[in-house]
Amino acid sequence: MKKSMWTIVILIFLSIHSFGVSRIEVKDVWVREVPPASSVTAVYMVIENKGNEDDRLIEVKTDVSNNAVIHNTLVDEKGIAKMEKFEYINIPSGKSVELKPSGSHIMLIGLNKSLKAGDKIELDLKFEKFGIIKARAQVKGMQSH
Amino acid sequence: MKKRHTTIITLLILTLLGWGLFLYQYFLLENKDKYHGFLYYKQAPNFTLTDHNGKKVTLSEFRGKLILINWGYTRCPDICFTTLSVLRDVMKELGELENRVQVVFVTIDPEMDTVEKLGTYIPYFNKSFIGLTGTPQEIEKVAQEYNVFYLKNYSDSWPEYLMDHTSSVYLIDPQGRLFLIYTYDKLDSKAIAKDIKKILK
Ligand SMILES: [Cu+2]
Repeated sequence: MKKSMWTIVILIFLSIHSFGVSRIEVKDVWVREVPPASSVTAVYMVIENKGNEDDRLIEVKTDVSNNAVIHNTLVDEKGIAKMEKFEYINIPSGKSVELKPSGSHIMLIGLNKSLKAGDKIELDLKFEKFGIIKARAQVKGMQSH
Repeated sequence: MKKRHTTIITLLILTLLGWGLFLYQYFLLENKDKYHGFLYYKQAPNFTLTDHNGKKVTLSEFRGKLILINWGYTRCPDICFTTLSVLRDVMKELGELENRVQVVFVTIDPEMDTVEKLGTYIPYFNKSFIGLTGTPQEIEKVAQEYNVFYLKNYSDSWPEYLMDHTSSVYLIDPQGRLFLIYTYDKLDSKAIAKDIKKILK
């Protein structure tokens, strides 16, 4: 009797725990090649949440720039373009979120080296629940998209 | 009997006139609608700024060419980069007509975008593109005349400011008239090239 009670408790505990899972996959990560004069660039990617719990991208780190900021581009009704800093990007469960030109991106501000097409850079993407994903981004020039 | 004839003929003439008016308006309206960009139609204000080689350039020097002006700053990898790449594709679409089109980039961040900076940035997209800068006062005057808005956007997270700015591209026809405006959502290289071919015909 006591033994089966414990089994049930453990089973319930396990099921609660395995109920919400965030399973993040990151793909097609690329960085824009910028002309040599520019110390700023943007990173784009596709983030997929294959789990059944929502997650958020909350922080990005890289060695190639002083700052890596989650940004969103907005063009208002007057045609004025702005880039806004976002604290996070929601990655809903079962959904794929694309960071793409004229939308959300990771802005690299204060590049400490110039990036040429074909180069690769490393990024640490921190998700609130899933934790850190190490991603590798390819630098792409204008011809490749 | 004669009176009835006159009535029928009058009615016929009126009907034909009505149709004529309808067709005239129909084609006129369609003509108005035939450009991808928004019609603006006013004399383009003239200005003199410094190009990316350090030379003074006056807009009216390009009279006879069609000019595409865009406004931005070099530390703008998303919007400005996209705009300049689209304009580069427009030139490719144009083929031989390319020689009759001049793309001009005016910086709205003259403090950071020096002649040297523009000199390495602008030719990256197309060797024929011209980047223009000036004193903050000169840029302010040109922007005002063209209804271009810009504002420094400071952040507490990093030292460099970014700019909010008008993202539209202006088309000036070979007669020096500000003819069409392309808002950012209208930046489609094929459609812009089609407009240009129509105007240069
Ligand atoms: Cu940005």
